[in-house]
Amino acid sequence: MTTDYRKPELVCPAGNLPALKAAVDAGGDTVYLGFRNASNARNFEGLNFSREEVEEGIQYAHDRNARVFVAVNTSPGPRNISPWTSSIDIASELGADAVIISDIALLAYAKENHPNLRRHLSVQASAGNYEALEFYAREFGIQRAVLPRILTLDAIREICSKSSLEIEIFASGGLCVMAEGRCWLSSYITGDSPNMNGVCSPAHAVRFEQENGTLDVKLDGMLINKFAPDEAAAYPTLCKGRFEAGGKTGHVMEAPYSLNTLEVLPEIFAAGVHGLKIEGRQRSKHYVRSVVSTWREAVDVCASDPHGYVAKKEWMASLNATSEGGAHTTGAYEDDWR
Amino acid sequence: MLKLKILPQPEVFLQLLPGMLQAQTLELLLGHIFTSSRQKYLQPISGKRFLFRTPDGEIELFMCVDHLGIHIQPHTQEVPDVTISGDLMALTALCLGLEDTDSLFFSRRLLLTGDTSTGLMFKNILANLDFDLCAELELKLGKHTADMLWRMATQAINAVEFFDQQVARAGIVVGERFGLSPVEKVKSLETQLHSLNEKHVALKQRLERRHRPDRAKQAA
Ligand code: SF4
Repeated sequence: MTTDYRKPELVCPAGNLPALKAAVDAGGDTVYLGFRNASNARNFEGLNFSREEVEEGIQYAHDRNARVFVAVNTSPGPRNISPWTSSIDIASELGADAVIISDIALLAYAKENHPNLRRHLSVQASAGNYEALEFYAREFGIQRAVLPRILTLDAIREICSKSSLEIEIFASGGLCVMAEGRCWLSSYITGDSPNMNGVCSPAHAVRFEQENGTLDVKLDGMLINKFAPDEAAAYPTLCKGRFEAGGKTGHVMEAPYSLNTLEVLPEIFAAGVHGLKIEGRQRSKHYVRSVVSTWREAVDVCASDPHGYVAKKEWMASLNATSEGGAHTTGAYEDDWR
Repeated sequence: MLKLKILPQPEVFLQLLPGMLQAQTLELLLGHIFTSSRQKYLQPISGKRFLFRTPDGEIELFMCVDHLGIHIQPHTQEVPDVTISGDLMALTALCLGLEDTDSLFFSRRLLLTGDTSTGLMFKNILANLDFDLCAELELKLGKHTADMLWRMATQAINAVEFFDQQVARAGIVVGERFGLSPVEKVKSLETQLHSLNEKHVALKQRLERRHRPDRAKQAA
């Protein structure tokens, strides 16, 4: 039996205009971004786009045959939904190629008010089975779904073969503890969550203190990690903190590894996914340029000869050099655990 | 291979050591970056005070932001909102947007203490600016002058950093280094001229990469 290989598009992150341009110039097929408010899941100080910047970014991308997806992928609270709905309105008005949404009220709003704007289901919706995807397709007319990172490649292949939807998966970058859109660790300590406020470990709650080379990291006054002198550090999240449990101190929830699927690229091609998402909207244009260039080359090499494809050492080294934690994993894709 | 000519008298650059000169250079560059059209970006950090320092505390630059722009001075009694520590190259890379700043923090070459929100905001304001310092200086000053100035600045920064390392390695305490005789200064630098030259070559290559047009987007 011959295997069909699909060459997926590279969906690249941008937290600002220079990063968007870097992604497009480095060969990204599509860039995803968010507005400067709580409507997107990377709501950090000084990050994201104003209306004017989105307009310029879309123009820049479209002039170079690249697409722009706008993430409106947090859940509005009970009081004021307008920042979310107006983000969808503006995305439509400015000619975005799709909106990425998780909340069902916003999906319904987009379907009703902007029927011609493509709707993608965000990873934040945590829809990890064929039946859930069919529900979203039937009720809200979504055209694509970003799968949560809890699935194995076998499960992804099965979903792709059954579903009429385009399927997008994460290929590279920082990892969550794999309960997308449902993690309350951050709000437990800081009051802000990625689901409602678009931010895990808000900077106002983070403090770094260094003495004799040892770096203490605190979240709302609580010590969550200690780094030895010269040990690589990362932006602190509670899931990747080090705690004492069972008489040992270590990463009890998640090790600080980054996702890197370069080594299983032919299997991903064979699964039939449409989009490969690179995480990192909070990172600089230098990071985006470097990571997207690496992925562009890898995807092109794999597309030209999937059987002979081998992930080059320099690609792995380049991704490790800029990743949080400096080490990588294929996550659940090759794992039995779900 | 690329060779960058070392200026004949490296000790000239040591004259940049006085804090006032470093402060003025940084103020000049940041002043250029935040020209009037870009000053609006500073609004979220208006009234905030930043301290940039090398880990040994030998270089300390204090920055405050107000409605007139950025002001930098070498010393102050004021308590900063944010302190960013790192070697001179890392601090310069942060302020001039030359490298991936997160990687510098992850690798511990930069450390942010104090108010993380303000520090993150400053980092992201700089990252959001769509500018190429080299190209802009070129436009303003002409290619030849801009190249020369940029080369001198990077050489100066490098020489200062290098000399600091040598001084630290030799265990000479602050203040005494100014007591070194000119012959000792030159000798100390000349013995390491070779490695210094290599660092300059690396810098030059990095600068050249910045001038190279970005790789054309490949067809999907
Ligand atoms: S605490 Fe960890 S798992 Fe939870 S949202 Fe933050 S990064 Fe994700």
